[in-house]
Amino acid sequence: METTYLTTPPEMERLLKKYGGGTIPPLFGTQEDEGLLGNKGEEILNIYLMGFSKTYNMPLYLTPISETHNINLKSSIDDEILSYESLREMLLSCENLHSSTEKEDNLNSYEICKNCIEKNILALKNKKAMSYICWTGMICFVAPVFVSGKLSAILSTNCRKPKEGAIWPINLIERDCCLLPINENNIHDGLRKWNENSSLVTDKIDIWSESRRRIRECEEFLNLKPNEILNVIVDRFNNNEINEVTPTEVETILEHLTQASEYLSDLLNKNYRLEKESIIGWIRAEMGSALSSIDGFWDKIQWCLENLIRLIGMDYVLLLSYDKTNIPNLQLLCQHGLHEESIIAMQYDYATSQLDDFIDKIKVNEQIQEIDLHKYRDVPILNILYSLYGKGADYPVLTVSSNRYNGRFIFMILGKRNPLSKRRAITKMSSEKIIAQNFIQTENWLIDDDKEYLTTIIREIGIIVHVFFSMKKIQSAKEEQTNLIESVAHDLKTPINNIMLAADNLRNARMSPERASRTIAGVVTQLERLNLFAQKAWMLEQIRQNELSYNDEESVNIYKILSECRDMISDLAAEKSIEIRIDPEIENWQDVHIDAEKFAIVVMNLIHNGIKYSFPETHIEISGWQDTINSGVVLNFSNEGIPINEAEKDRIFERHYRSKEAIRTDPTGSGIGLVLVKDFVDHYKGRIDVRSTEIRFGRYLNIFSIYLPGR
Amino acid sequence: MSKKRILFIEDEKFTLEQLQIALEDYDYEIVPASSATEGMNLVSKLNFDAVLLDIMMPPPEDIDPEIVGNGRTTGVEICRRIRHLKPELPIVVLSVVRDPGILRRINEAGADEIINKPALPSKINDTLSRILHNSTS
Repeated sequence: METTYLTTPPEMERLLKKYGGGTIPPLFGTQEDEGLLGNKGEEILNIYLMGFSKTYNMPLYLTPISETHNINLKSSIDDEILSYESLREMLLSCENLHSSTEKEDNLNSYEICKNCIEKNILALKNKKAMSYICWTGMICFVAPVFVSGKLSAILSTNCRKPKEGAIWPINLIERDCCLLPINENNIHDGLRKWNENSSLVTDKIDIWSESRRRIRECEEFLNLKPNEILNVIVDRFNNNEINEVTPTEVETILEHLTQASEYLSDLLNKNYRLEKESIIGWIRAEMGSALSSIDGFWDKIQWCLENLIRLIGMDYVLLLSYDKTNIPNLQLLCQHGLHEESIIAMQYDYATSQLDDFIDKIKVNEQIQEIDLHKYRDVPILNILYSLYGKGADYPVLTVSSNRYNGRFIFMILGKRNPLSKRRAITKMSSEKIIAQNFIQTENWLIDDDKEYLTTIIREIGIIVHVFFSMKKIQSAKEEQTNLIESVAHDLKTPINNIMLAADNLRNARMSPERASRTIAGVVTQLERLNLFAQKAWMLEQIRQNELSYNDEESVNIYKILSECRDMISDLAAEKSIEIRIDPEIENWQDVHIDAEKFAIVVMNLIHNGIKYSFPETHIEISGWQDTINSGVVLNFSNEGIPINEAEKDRIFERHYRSKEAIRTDPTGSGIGLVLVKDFVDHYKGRIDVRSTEIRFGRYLNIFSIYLPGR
Repeated sequence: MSKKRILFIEDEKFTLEQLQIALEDYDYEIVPASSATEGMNLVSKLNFDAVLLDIMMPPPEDIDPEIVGNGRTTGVEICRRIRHLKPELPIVVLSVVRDPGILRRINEAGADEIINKPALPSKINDTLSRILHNSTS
């Protein structure tokens, strides 16, 4: 039986929150009166402990009565799922269900415990909790849960494997209206069937290890140590000599069971009413707490989506982001309810021309609408959805826009499985073809009120996502500022630290005259670093305040400035055995009218960058040509080192931007040098180009070319 | 008494050279490593009495730059790895960083001491002497 398992506190809470909002206590807690099953409800736990083998614990299922709950009638039929409601309708419509051997056989062939199905139906019909003994000899109970007068869920236990040799009193069985007489032979027969076919009620799931897994989930949820709950259960059981229930105890258990199930029904009905507004409140509260932890944000969103599809009876939901800031791009932000293998194929960003049309359609009608995916087969992320359900799907997808943010458009796709394939599944499985088909044709899975409500919820989630992006943006701006301060601190403190060390060594340490001379040269280099940094900082501040003025009347000898800069920075270059070469031809150029001081800063920056990002034992070449008519110049600064990626060529001139390769080579640096270069070039209405060409494997020739038009 | 052997991991060559001169004068044996990768190799192969570690360094190939704040906290990750490899080895971190969050991470990574840059050799010597004394007593 494929069920929506709601055994664990997180699962239980999730559903209960869906119905009521606010804080829901866990299923059971460490303290006596703690948890949903504390007080009277604790008896359920006691029943677990008393009634069953110590090796195992009892799973508790809360099953929403809607199309979201499915029973897999026959696992051999691939992906053909019949909803629980469909099954119920179908079973109720079948005459002589409770007496016909043929029907029993039919049900048995579906590999469902017939008695459990019957008891579920009986509980639903009578609208009351029931306890019974399953034909495999296990105590079970079922409690219908009514919310706002509407049947919303069934709380039930599942069949359990009895301990070998367990004998159940016939009068008890009769009292419980169990049609199958259970005796020793019957039990053995049940055990044999169980052993022969593990999918009898578990649908290929090992229910015992599944239970253990869920106990672990409980422990994690309650921040308990591994096996803490399990040990409590086992310990309490070990202290009790009775490992199997006696007939007298069964009586008591059944009384308790009924009492407990009524209590639970009552609790659910009274305390947790389905109020749509409260869900929005809950989502806001949940997301509010999630926003403080960016890591958990998308998990929370997924949680909301999960509740959403349960609420409205959809099969899957996707939260997509459409970004048209550069190239139209569709990105899957979050999903729930799709097959894992489908999702793997969706974990990519897609850019396609089809997207604009798709998005336009959603923009025009911001209410929920059905979209025929067939038209968008060229959009890879949507094509995968389309292929999931085959051609000719009646309900391909529903889309609803949620909001827009900085050119980013967030919307949801909600999908249902293809009813045609569902019909095929029922036709295959049921001899009552007409009933099944009629049922599907009349099904109304989303009424107008729900559509409107759904739009509100989706918008809410959309707004939350936008708030998240805003917060992330603020956070990243803050981080950028912190990083900049750290880089500036490093740029300032490192040369100061080095000068202090060198001065201390010159005064105190034992060193040869040669070494002392080298140290003094090093100090000069460090001072030049400081000077360059001070100049850059000053120039950047002037740019920031729009106060940077250029002295355009100066007559500048380019070669002279290039040589001075080379000499100033040569010690730094020597540390990496880098040689700086200037084309001697430049010496013959005419003087140009530019601001000499700013030009020197530009040259120093370009050479300094060249040194930082060059491989050792290479050289930096400065070459160019001059227009003899108007004195316009082109200057090329080339170095051999790491590449500058195509995508980053424009970005490296942005303030504080640093390429990944640059960071890997040198994490320091504040990313302001090239901003100054760009400002200088822009002032003279010139241009700067960057080229990066692979010259040997992994080695690139990077050329920064500055064009300065003459006058 | 044999000299205490200190591994000094620092990508800034001038700092490496000058501090080596100064600390050798204080009678330490300094083994320089000019990159995080070289430092990790040396830690795994040789025995040291302590490690002096810079925080801001280019990240090694096996570390995603974004994980280590684009190189600003490479030393934190290296400190963590050294601590994992040699739980008892004293680690002194040299840092220009003042951000409380990063300082906390340095401590969590297992650093014994943090020295703020700029720092004179005498201060570094004092710190090393103290933690070496503590680790042997």
